[in-house]
Amino acid sequence: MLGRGTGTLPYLDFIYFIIRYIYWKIPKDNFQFNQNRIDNENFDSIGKNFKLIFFASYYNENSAVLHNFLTDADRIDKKYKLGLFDYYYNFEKKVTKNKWNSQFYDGIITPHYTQIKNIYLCGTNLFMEYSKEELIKTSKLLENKFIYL
Amino acid sequence: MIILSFIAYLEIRWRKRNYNKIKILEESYSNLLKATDRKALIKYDLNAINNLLKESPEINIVLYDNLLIDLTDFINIHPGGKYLIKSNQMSEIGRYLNNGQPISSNVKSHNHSFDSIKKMLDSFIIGTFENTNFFIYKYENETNLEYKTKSTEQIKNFIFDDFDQAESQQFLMRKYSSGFNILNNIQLANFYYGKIYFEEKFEIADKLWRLSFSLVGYKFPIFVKGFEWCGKYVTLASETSNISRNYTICLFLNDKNQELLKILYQNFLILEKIFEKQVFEKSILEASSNQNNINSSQSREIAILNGSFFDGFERIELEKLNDLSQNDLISERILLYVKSYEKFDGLSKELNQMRPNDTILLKAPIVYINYFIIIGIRIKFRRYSFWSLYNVGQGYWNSSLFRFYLLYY
Repeated sequence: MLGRGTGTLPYLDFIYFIIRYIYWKIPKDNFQFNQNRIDNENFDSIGKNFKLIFFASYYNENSAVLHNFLTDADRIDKKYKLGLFDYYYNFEKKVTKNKWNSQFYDGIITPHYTQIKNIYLCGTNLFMEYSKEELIKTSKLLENKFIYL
Repeated sequence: MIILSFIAYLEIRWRKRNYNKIKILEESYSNLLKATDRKALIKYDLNAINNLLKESPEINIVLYDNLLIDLTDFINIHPGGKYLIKSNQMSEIGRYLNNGQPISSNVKSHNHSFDSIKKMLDSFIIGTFENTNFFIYKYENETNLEYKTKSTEQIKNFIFDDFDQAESQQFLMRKYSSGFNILNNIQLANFYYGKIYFEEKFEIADKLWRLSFSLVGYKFPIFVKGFEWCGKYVTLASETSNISRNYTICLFLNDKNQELLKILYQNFLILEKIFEKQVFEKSILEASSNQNNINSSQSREIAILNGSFFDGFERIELEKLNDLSQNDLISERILLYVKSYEKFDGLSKELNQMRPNDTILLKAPIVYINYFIIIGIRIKFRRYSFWSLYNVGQGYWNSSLFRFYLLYY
């Protein structure tokens, strides 16, 4: 999922669901007495190999909605090797290819090429154009997987 | 007779005024086609669209209000040039048409004459876009892909694309045909389509305002699994000008859900600390063959650990979590997120300038709460009695639908 500015908002409900899943998925052996509400939730709809990679570009840190929650979730995911959620972000006033370029994307999504089902885009046109262009450079397999929100 | 005539006159006047209001409201919405017409259209999902683009790569398709519009024949005569249409292949164009955002920092937004666009786009509609791609994949193995669709029982009834007022009315009539339900029938399965009152606004991020709206008797869903709502919009329309815009549904961003997440994280940190402590203690105990052999520095470490380990941490807040889980499915407010741009334009300007109790037109999913309070007025004239019955309760069956008279003698 890729979002720029307020274009990150449409994803937040979904990401909230995934964050709760992350808390639910933390190895229970460590926290046997954890009785959070989410323990009773049903996450059956999530497949074994599910993974969400979220690329967010913000104007500045103040405009980054829920940035702390997202970084926390990313940290927990890495710490417990859950492999569910990656969060990549940057702050820039105008979208450039300094960060969002094919080399950057390539390093992240190469292991997942065959499993990527959809790429969601939302944000300014410049951001969407650049992202699509650069992602396709990494592999033509991705060409028909874009969904614009 | 004079009184009866007067009541009849008032009734006709009232109905006429309401009829005009509904007509204005319907015109204000930017739907290109009536919902009933949509059903006749071909439904495309992403795979079908990709196939279409493979077969004819030269076609230019855009989306508007989940309608698929083929602009191939229009692209050469588009006053704004080919680029704008080409660069919006398979994009939702509502944000540009409804006085929305500029296409890029170099190209300013253009106020389209919406009425003429509507007529023009109407002729290019080829189908509806079925957004069935919001599912989570379930891989049994690499070669055998299985995926689960988005629906859950509760959300199944939300029909975003085929909203039809008449249909929803029939749905509710079927639902309640077995008799009057007097109090608090909660129905999480429909759209609100009408006027709503502005309450307050709050800046949640730099120049991003959270606006809350409410309407007595209506409740809105605030907590969902998540992906069912991804990429969905609510429509707002101005009462005064013919402007409407789609705004992202972002149900998560209410205080309650954020508080829940905060507590979950805090609990997690505490549990992590407890776990670390247990591991540390265990390692010390294992290092010594039995507890009596713990040397003085080790016991000091344990003492320090016990005393200061949780400094700065509150205890686990399970009670708060339970409180939060009460009634967290619904809210009396619907929250919308509006960016306040430096140069105000269109509906955003109107929204940003709203004051409490100002109204705007909204199309959004709601939780229905129907209750009836029937009041009657009896007028007696010689041997004739006249009863006028009104429902002053709230919900779908408001007074505009439930209002009738009895005349007997």
